[in-house]
Amino acid sequence: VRDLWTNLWHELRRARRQRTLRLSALLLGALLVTGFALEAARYHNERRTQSGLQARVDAEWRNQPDRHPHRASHFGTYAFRPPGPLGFFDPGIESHSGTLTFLEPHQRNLPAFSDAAESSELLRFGRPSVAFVLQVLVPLLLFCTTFSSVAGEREAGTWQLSLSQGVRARSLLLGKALGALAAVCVWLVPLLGASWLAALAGGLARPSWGLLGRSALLAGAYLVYLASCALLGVWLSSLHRRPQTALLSALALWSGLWIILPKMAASLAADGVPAPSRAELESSIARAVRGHGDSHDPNNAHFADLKATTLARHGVDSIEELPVNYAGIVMTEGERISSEEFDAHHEQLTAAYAEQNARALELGLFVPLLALRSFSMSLAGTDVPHIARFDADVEKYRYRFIQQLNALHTSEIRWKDDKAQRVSSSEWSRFEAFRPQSPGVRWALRHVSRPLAALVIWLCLALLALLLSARRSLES
Amino acid sequence: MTQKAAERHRAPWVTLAWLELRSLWRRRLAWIAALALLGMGWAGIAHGLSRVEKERAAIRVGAAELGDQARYLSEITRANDDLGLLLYYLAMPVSQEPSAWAPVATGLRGIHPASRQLRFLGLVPQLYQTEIGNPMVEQGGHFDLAVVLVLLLPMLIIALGHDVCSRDDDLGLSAAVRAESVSQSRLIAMRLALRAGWLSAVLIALLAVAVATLRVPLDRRIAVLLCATLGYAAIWWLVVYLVSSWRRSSVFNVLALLGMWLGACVLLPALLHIGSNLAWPVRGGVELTLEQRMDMNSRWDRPKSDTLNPFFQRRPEWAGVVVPSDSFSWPWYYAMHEVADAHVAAQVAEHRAALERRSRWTARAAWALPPLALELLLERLAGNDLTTALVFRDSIATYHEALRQAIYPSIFGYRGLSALPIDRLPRHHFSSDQVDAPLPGWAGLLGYLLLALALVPLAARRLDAVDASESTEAMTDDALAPVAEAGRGALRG
Repeated sequence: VRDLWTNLWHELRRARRQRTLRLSALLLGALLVTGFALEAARYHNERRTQSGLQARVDAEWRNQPDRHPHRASHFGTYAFRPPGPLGFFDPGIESHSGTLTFLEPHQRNLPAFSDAAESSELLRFGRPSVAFVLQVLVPLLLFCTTFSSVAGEREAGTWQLSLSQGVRARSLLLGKALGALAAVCVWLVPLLGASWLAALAGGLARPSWGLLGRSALLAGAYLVYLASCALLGVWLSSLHRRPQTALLSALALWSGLWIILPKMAASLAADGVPAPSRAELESSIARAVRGHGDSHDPNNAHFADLKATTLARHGVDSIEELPVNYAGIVMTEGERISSEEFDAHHEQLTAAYAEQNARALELGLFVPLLALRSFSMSLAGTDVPHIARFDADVEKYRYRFIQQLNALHTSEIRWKDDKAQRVSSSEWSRFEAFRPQSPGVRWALRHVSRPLAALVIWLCLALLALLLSARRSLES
Repeated sequence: MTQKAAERHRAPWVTLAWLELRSLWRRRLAWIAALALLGMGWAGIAHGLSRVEKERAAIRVGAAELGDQARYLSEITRANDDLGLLLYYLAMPVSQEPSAWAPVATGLRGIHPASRQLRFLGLVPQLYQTEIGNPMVEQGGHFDLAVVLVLLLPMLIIALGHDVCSRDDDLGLSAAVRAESVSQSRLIAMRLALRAGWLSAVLIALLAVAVATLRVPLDRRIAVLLCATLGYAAIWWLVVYLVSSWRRSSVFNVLALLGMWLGACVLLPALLHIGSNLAWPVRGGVELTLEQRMDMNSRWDRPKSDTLNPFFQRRPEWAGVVVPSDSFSWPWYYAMHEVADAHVAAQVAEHRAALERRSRWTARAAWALPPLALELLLERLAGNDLTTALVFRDSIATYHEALRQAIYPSIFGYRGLSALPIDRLPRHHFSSDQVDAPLPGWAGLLGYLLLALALVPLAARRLDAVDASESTEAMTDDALAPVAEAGRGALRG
């Protein structure tokens, strides 16, 4: 263990002495701060605008004049999606999902107005969030720190010298990996801590146990990830006799696993698992709803049945004699039927996405970035399950909202001269406003057991490879 | 005599070129780079094709929807039913036909839906739809040919070129090479040219495969693609030459070039993306949608003349029609939609102008960033850029107006359902090919190419100068090499 510490210190000092490393650490640190500041500003703007607009549409709803309930339901309302709890750290897929959903009867609208839809071609180059720096650039820095760790000593001849003096190869290698990790953590941890505090101070996140749990889990996962990158770097170096070839193979690995394969995996999965486009989804929903027929059609069996049972329940012979408004009952039933179709089709869509993402993640066993990215997005509350859950919540709210109006239509409006009547404007403030609920840490964790397992497996594999390499260098 | 001198002068170049070519041929890296370029390029083309094929399928589904609708509506309505009610439901297919080039750079395809249904109601709430593609895939970025050319091609160039000068040091040959009676700068340039030629040949083969697979029309766009890509590659090769002229180690060269790649291809564009979004925000899309809806709804509770007067001012040809002022009527209903659209017309124009400004600034930024320049150029070529998206949006507005003009006679004539000629309604046609916008990005590519070329003489002088002053020093260094090697051998033993 003492050897390990000595090597760790040695490696740290070596990293500090190298000008290129100091310079790249400086640049990376600057980038981290800039990325954080830009994302924080974006997050802050977005949240403020959206809560402002949500308040505005809620007020507009309450301030309606006396109206027919069905008229009011076509007036409708809106739901705005607030950014995820740690969206300023890892914006995930948020910029690609719509923020505004219009809620109206007979129809489940898709969210509109994503950041991406108002972006220029620069969209294709991604964004420099803190998560991106940690996920893609810090591993590169680790590879650049470690490529010469063993190969360089081999070339200089000091490697054999150390071994011949009885230093154990295992502690040498582990010390080098931990040293490289420490050299990065020395400046990374304070910077991240400072930005975390800045986020709290700036009101981007509210201090809570949930936030603390998310942050701790994220920190742990990133540590595991970066540790396996450091181990991997030293292992690669130990396979080479010259630093130059070690560097080339490390960079080849980085460009393959961090740039090419992640993009390819997502694209391949999207090609392999069919998911409907907007036009196809809307068309299949329209066809399904049409299949249920027209409620005004006297020959429609379902609605004829509804009429018969309603009349029987109230013991009357005609719609005019009903104590309630039959038009409202038909609206309620129509909404129920169409809503079932919306749910079924949207669930299919979500399932197709989940299947695509699971396919892409199967490659995560070979591509650590994919596993970490899923985990990070999920805990930041900015991944596909979170957004899908939000959309489902919005739909549930829409359904309750419309059915409440249909209930008013049934009880407060008489059948005769239906369209000429109004309900009092005091009714509108009895409607509950839409309040987005963010799921807890436990819910977020439930979706990422596989990525988490993949990360741990990666750490174990990297460690194992390094230990095996240590044994081999002893034998040689 | 003179001929002999010329021969003596030429001979070492031919021999050297031949030797270099042979060693390039024997290097595994050269073959790996070629295979990687072809393989990734092919994967990019295949993915692009599959995406565009999906869009074509969506467009077919959208077009078929009209027939299904017409059939259903004819089942549930009778000939003397209200025309207005049917128009409430009727939706016309609207689509952006992808060009044959679309798979090359899928760009903003998948953000703005290419296949939509346009209803006869207000235009504004229908104008800003977004596609629903898997956000995880969209966020990661599609793996198309543009990614391979913009992002990965420079990596391969760096891998092949970084040791063009330092390889001699790596192999301990520098003294021998310097002893040759040729100028170092030309030797390095020749070597680099050979490597560049090798990769360019592969690149041209890849582009030929792309052109053949996509069956694009053989016009000047092929020349644009070829020139832009080769020009972009040439910039990177020249950068490699400039970096090599510092005569540092291979490791240094790789790290320096990688840093430049990271800055130019990843970090600067990403910073620019979010920075420009913050600096020049596009506001108002959401607000104007809310505003239009609010205005439209308030008209239900206001006197009919509030809606009809501005409407008749817009369309005096219908001013003579009598519209009931105390009860619901379809002319009034559709007039409300149109007047509400007109209510936010200024905001719609402003929003469009803001997007256009964003597009213009992106094109300006491409002057300074060759990777962005090539991406913009490829997306323009493929018709998947922001300009095309905006022109497509305009075409939807124009089409909506044409629909209004075709349908208003039936509405304001209070005609029955049978008067609606669904088959004879105007149809929407839009293809990315018909957008005729100037090519962005070429100025950035050309500018950087010229800049790099202008720096070449400097680099050449540096290479030759170092050569003259350090050759003796290098000799002694290399003279010691066997000793060092023997020492290492002893340690190993």
